[in-house]
Amino acid sequence: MKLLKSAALFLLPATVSVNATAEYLINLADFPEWFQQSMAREAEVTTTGQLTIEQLNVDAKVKGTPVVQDSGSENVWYYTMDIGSDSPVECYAFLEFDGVANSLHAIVEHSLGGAEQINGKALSGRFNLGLDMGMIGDTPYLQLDTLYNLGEGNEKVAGVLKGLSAQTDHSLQICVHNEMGYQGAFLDVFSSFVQAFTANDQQPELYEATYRMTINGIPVGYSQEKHTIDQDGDVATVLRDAMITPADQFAVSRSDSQTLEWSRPDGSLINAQEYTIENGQLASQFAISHAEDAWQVTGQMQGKEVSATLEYNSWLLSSFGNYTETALLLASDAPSADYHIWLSDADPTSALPVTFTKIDELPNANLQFDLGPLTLRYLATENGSFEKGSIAQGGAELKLEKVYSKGQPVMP
Amino acid sequence: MNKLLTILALTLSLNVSAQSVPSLAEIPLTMSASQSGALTNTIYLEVETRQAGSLIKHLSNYSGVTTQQLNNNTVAVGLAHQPVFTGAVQSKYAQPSFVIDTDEPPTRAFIEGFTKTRTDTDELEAITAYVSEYINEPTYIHGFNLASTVATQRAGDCTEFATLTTALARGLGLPARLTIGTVITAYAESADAFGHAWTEVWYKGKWQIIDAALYGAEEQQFYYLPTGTLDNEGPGFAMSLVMASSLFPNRVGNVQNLQ
Repeated sequence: MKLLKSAALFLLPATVSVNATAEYLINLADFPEWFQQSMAREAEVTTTGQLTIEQLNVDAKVKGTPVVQDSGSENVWYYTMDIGSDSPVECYAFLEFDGVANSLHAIVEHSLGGAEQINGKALSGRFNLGLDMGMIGDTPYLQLDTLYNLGEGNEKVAGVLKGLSAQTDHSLQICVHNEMGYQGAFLDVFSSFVQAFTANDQQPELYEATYRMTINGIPVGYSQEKHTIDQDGDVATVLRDAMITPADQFAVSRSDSQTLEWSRPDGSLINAQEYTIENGQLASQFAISHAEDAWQVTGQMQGKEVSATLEYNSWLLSSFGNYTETALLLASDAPSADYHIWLSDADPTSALPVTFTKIDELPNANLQFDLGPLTLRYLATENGSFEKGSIAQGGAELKLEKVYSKGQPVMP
Repeated sequence: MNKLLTILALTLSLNVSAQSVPSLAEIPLTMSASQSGALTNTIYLEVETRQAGSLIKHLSNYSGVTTQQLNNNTVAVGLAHQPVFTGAVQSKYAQPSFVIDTDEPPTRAFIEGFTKTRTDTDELEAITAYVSEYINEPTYIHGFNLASTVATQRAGDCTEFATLTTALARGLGLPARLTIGTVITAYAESADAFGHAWTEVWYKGKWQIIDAALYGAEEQQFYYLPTGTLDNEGPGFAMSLVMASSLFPNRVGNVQNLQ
């Protein structure tokens, strides 16, 4: 860390792409020369070491020579890794966790507390420096970089805490690095760490896809889908969404949600369970199933019980059904198709009518999805897979873009 | 993809603001080239929106606001500081609901805290001041919290301020509703606009705006442009927020004093 001149912390409300990994929310050119030089530092990580965690079926060589600091107490594994910088990269593996976004933020808070202790100075300022999402093989990750100050007046120092987080099939991996620069080396070590947890994964998915989400160009998270055919010939779908949204210059809101859904090959919903964790709290938890000739919903929102029988009692479109019905519409002469869906985030007590309509806005969109006042224009391929889309609302534009896929959303 | 769409839309719908303007809630605003000096009590603005007809229809329920459709996407608006809702007082505006849960213990305790300490000042002023002071951790990180959650956490942005204000008013027997819209903040030579939430209270025979989130910001002038209300206060309230925020302006232009 170095002393930071007071004029340095003017943050601009725009994203600035740099030749590193994150989309910066500030313009580095507004900072002093020494800061820019520190941020540009890099290193090539040539050392490797063995990472073995029997409980998680991990046994792989990783970059950065891991030194065990905690080997599984309370289902947490903690390592330090030397990358040639003053501070080591710190990496964690969790068996129990809130999610990619919430857990990353929690570790960032923990690390900032550690920086206060080590330096003997209180946290006096913090700013959202960078956000991003990316892929390591088929595993999406989130990045959150924080610029912070410790102490006051002439004693004030500045630091940059970089954080990366990814969820693999059975655990969560987070690495942090409390030093300016070394973006590439940090990502390199994190990638290697994550790959150690995916090396033995079997991938039986019929179709999997990951979508990058941006709001006004700011990368705020991702949505991952994995569709698998079960032993009955139905489709099991796992949806994982993770978002870190800048609430202002200083704070981020965090959201992780997971849905487990079953649908029939024709795209109709059988049942689903889901939960959302927001800012470290269980925000909602719902299940829907068809019983006694009606759709029954049970769950809770912000700790209050919710129980409902939907008035609508027919075919509900599943996540997998989005693809099958899109493909059918594109192959037909019909201009549009109407369905009902259940979206607990919008209204857990109702089935919501939606309409898919063919449009001609190539190369950006060939379909429009309407849900109440919301309109998503998107591009889908003939097999129904979603490629990219956007929603405009107020002064903001939301964009979704597929950044990874494997297989086809088509029953064999 | 459906779920993703909803999450993103809700993220935007809920990204309204409290004491300052987070970038996602900000709505682009340009002043008229002919405007000089401070804005006065009634202003003229041109609202660019994807739903001009729906916006005009919604604003027809208010006095203190005039509208004229200029083209498919633009509405000319004459706007007083606080337009007055002219709709009827419905019984639901006085009752507990899933969101405005005045029947939950944390909310009840919060309301009792007010009644124990209330002063002889104007009741609406006292309500606003109390909520403004009670929420001691202003933060934009929350989506939309129920009144009982806000009463417990004492944190949030304008939606949490408005939720708790609405609950307190109802707890005191005053019909109240949570309103979503755009606030234009006027400074000496400029202005900005942002998504916001506030409370409309039936008091002394008319609907009146109270806004705990902006309470105490006396150096600025505010103009409230309502675009919707939380009609559904049940577990499906999020769709109601989406509906309300769907009328948010894309941009506001040609802002000037109304001639």
